[in-house]
Amino acid sequence: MVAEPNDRVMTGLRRGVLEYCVLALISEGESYAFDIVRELGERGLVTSEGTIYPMLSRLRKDGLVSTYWMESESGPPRRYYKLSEQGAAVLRAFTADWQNFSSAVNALLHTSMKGE
Amino acid sequence: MTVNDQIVSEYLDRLYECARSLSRSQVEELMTDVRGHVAAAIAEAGRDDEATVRTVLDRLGTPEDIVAAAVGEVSAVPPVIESGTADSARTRNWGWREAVAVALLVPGAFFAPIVGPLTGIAFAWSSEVWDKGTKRFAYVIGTVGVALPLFLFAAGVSLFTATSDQMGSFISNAPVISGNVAPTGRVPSVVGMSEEDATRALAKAGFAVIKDYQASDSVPLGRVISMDPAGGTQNGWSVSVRIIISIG
Repeated sequence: MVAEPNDRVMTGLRRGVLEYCVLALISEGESYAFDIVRELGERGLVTSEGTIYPMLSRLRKDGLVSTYWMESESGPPRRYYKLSEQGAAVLRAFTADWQNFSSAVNALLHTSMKGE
Repeated sequence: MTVNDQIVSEYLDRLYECARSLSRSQVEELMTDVRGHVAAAIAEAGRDDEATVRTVLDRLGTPEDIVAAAVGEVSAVPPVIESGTADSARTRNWGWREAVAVALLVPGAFFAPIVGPLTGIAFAWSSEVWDKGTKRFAYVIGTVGVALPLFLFAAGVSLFTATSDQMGSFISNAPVISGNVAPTGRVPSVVGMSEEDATRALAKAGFAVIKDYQASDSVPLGRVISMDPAGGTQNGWSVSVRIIISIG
């Protein structure tokens, strides 16, 4: 099935910003992988929850997050994620870039809407 | 094995099959993560009926999607840009060092096995023109040039000496996965334990615990009457264990 042009654009945008959304979620506190994945799913940022795990694994390899295991009362041991200093720096840089980018796009979109 | 166990096992088997192109450590991590996710979702729901299990797996996405994401992550550009990138991207002309390195790395591997590629690596490394990435590439090519004849030699020797029996056991050992949460874990026996101790022991072994309560004349209040699968079972990929607790 070929995706509608709009779907393709949204998929691309989502893919581009997803890892920063993951870093932002983790920056709010040390987090449990399952909760991160669920949260992104509920916000409509990801359709296949399982695809987040390879990304988390790569973020760990890149040194942007660290992980540790904790036992759970009701289920299997849980892997928790914590933002590293490098991860925090990457997130700060992206936040600034994103604000510039989104306000530039917003300004253009507003102009074109007025022009119609 | 219940029907739902089978659904989960089939899913994880498929994921494992699809993931063959990934490195071993990646496969282990991915299997642990996904299995842990399913167990956590079932533990959170407190149910492991077919509808619950299917919803959990639907939300995860197909094994093919997950592996495709993992393959994409491997080739992803690291988010931090090296400071030397602008400089190294500039192309400069090759000198004699680079020409000798290439000659020794590729044809050298045939004319002067082992020695050729080794010297080639040394020339590549001393290059002032090539950037780190190119040198690393030369290093990999050179290493293959050194390792391949050694490997072929070793393979020839072991083929000669190995019995078919040894080869068989080598192959059957290959797909075993180890890790913090072993997917092939043994189910600990918790019959007779208190509800709390039993839950903790099963959780520690990596299983989602599903509880049912039943009246019993012989088992005291709050103790485990029975479990499914039984203690000691080698449980394959399955993620949940059902325990029945006495209400007296």
